[in-house]
Amino acid sequence: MGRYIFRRILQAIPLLIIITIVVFALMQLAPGGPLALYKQNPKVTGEDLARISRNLGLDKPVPIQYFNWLKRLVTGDWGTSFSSSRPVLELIKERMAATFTLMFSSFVISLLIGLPIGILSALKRYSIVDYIVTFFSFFGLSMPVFWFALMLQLLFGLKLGWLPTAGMKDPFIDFELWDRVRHLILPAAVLSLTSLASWSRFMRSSLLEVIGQDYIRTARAKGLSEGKVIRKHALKNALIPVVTIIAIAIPGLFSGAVITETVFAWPGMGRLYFDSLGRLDYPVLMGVLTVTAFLVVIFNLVADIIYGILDPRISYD
Amino acid sequence: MRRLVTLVFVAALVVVMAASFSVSAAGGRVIVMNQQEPNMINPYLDSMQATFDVSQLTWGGMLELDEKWELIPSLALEVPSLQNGGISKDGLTYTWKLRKDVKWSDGAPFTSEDIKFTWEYIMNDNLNVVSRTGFEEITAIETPDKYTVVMKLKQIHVPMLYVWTGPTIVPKHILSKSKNLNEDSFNMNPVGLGPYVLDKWEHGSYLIFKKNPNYWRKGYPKLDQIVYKPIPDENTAFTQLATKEIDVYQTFPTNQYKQVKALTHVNVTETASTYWEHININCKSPLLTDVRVRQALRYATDLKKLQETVYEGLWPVAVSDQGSPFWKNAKLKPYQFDLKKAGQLLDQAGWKLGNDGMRYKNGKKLTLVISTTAGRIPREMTEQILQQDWKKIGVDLVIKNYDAGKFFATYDEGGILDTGDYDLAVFAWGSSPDPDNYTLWHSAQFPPAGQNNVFWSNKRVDELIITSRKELDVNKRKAMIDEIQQIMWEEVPMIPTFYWVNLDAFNKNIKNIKPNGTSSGNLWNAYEWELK
Repeated sequence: MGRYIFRRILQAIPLLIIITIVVFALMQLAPGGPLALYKQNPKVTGEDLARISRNLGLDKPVPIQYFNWLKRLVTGDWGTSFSSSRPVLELIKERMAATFTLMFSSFVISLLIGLPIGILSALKRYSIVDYIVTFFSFFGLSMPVFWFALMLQLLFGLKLGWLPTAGMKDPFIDFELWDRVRHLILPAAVLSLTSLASWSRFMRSSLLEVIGQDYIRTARAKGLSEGKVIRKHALKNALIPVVTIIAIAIPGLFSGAVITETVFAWPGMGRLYFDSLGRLDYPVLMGVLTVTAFLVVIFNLVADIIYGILDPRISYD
Repeated sequence: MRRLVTLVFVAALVVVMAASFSVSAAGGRVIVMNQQEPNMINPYLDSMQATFDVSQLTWGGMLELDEKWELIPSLALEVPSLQNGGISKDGLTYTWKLRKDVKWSDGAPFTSEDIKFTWEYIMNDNLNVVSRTGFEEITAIETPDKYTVVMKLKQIHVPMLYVWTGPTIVPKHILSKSKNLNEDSFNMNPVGLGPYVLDKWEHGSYLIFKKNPNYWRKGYPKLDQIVYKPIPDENTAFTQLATKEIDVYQTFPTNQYKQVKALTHVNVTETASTYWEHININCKSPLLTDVRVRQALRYATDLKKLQETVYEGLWPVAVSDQGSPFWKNAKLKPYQFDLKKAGQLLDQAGWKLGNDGMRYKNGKKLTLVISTTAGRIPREMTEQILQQDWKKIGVDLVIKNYDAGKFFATYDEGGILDTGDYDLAVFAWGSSPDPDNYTLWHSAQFPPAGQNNVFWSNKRVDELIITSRKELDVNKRKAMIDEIQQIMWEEVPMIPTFYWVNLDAFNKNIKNIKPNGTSSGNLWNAYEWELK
C-alpha cells in the first residue's frame, strides 16, 4: 500500500504541471484580456495601456509568462493580483476559511440527512415514504438555486425576520458562535439541498442493487435477522460507490459555490474566482485553479485508498 | 432511523426558532452598499467606482466637486481662477494657497511638499497608474513655502483644476520610503486627509471606517462609523434594504424602482449622471460611410419607445455627448422618430427596396450587425426594438453580442470596439464634468492610440477640440463645444440615446444627503452625514 501511494503521488506531479499548462493556455484563449477593464474609462490613452501592460509583464510572450509564473510558484510565490496588487496566496487563504465553513456545514447536513433517507427509501421501496422521498429528491435536484435562495431570504429574513439575509457575520460583533451560525443557516440549507437530493438517490439505488445480490439471500437463508442482514452485509457493500462520489465531492468544499456565495454575499472562493474571471486577473485565476486541481488529484487518491479498505477484493500491490 | 430523522428536524426547528431573537444595534453609523467590493483604497491604481467611493472617505484633495458639479475649495483656500490670479494670464502657471494646520490621519503635517510628491508619484514609470491625463501637462511644481504650490504647464490645459479635485493627494512622509509602490500596504489602508480612516477590512464582507481624529474640519465627521458593504446580487441588496441591514442602496436598477419606492423608510433620489448611453456607428464600415445612411438610422430610432419600455421613463433622452446642463448645446433637439424620412434618406443613398421588403444596392443587401455586452438586459432590449423597427425601413439588423471582456478589450487583445469589428454597438461612456472628449472624437485617436472607436474623422471637429482645450475664456470655449455637438448632430458618428440617472435609496434617518452623479459619488460629503 505504501509503495502504491508513493507511486501515485509521484505520478501526480507531472499531471499537475500539465494541468497548469492547459489552464494557462485556456485563459489566454479566453476572449479579451485583463486590460479591457481600463478601457471603459475614456481618459485612458494607448500609452497608459502600454505602460500598464509592461508593468504587469503582459508584453512578454505567453510561454515566457507561464515559465515566470511557474518559477515563482516553485519558490512559494503565487504572484500578485492584477487588480488589487495583493499576494494571491493571501487572497486564497482569507477566502478559503469562509468557503470551507459553508461547504463543510452543507456537506455534513447532506450526509446526515441524505444517506439515511436514501437507505429508508430503498428499504421501503414503492411505499408512501419512498414516493415522498423520491418526489422531494427530484424537487431538490431541479430547483434553481438562486430562486430557492431568494425565497428563503424573503421568508426568513424579510417576512419572519428570524435570520440575516446575507453575509457571514455581523460587522459589529467580533466573534460569537451564535452570530456565525445564524448567518450560516440559509446558505448552508440552500447548498445542501442539491447534494442531499442526489446523494439520497445514489444511496437508494446502490442499496437496492446490493439487496438483490445472492449473498444477501444467503444471509437471510442463514436465518439472520433482517436488521443484521442490512447492517452487516448490505450497507457496507452499498457504501462503496457512494464513498467514491462523496470523496470526489470533497475538493468542492474548498472551491466554493458561485451562485450561493453571490446571492448570500458570502466571502468565499467561488466569488473570488468569479470576480477574477470577469477581469481576467490571471494570477488569481491560476492560483485558485491550481489549488482546486491539486485537491481533485489528492482526493481521487483518497477515494481509491478508501475503496481498498472497504472492499478487500481490491488490492493495490 | 426514523428517530434520527425526527431528531434532525427538531434540532433544525430549534435553531430557527432561537434565531428569532435578533439584536439590532443603533448608533452613529451608516451602512452603505455597493454591488462591487473595492480592489483597494487608491483611486489612481484602479478605476472602479467602489474604489473611488472608499477613497472619498479617506483621502483628500485641494478642491471638491459638489452636488451641482461645481468646484469648491477643500484643502486649497480658494479655487484658482484668472480673476483671483490663481491662474496666470497665459494659462501656464497655477498658484495654489493651501490651508494651514491640516494634518494627515497619522498626525504628520500636510504641506505643499505633498502636492509636489503626488505629481512625482503619478509620473513614476513603475507605478500602475490607470491614467496620467492632466499630470503629463505639468512640467514642474515649485513650493516657495509650506503652504504655496506653483505649477508650470507645458501648454494650456483647461481641465487642470479637475486633476486636483476629490481624492487626489498622497502622503510624502509615507510613500517616499516605499520599496514597492504597487504592493505597498498604503494601497489597502492609507494614511489620508479624509474624514474617516479604515478600521477593519473583512475581505469579501465589508469595510468599517471610523472617525479620523486629525480631520481638519473641526467638529466633523458627524458619524462615528461608516460601513461599506459589497452585495453582488441586486435582489439580495433589495431584501437587505427592506430588512434595514443596509441604510444606503447605491445605483439600483430601474426595474426595482417601484419596489424600492414602496418601502416607507427610505428616500429615493434620482440624480443626473455623467454617463450617457449611445449607439456607436462604425464610420469605417463600407455600409456606413454615407452620412445619409447614418442619419436614416437615427431617424428610425424610436427613443420615446425605448425610454418607456426599457428605462421605465426615468432616463432623459440625450442629444449629444455632453450631459452637463452647462455644456449641453441647448439648441439641439433629438431627431423625431420618422420612418418615412429614414426611408427617403436610404433611397437617396442608393439603397432601393427589393421585392422582399429589404434594401439592396448593386445587388448587395443592407445587413448590419449590432453588438453589445451580453447579459445587459436593457441593451439587449434596445437591440431587439431596433431590429423590429428597422425592418420596417428594409434594414436587416443582425444581433451579435459578446462577453464584456471581448467587447471592450484593447486593440492588441482583439477587442470588438477597438478593432472596428462591428457596424453598430450599444454601450455607455462616462464623461467628466469637463467637456473635453479628445480621446473619443479626435482623428488622431483611432485605436490603439486612443478611443475613437467610431473611426470618425472631421477636420473642423479636430480643430475645435484642439483650440477648445486651450481656451481659458469659458464662454468662448462653450461656443466651440456647442459647434462640435452641432457637427456631430449632423454627421451622426454615433446616436446619443439617454443620459443615465442614478437611482439611490437612503434610509430616511440620514441627514445632509447630497448625491453626486459624477464619479465623486454619493460619499463626497460623507463628513456632513448625520443621523436624525
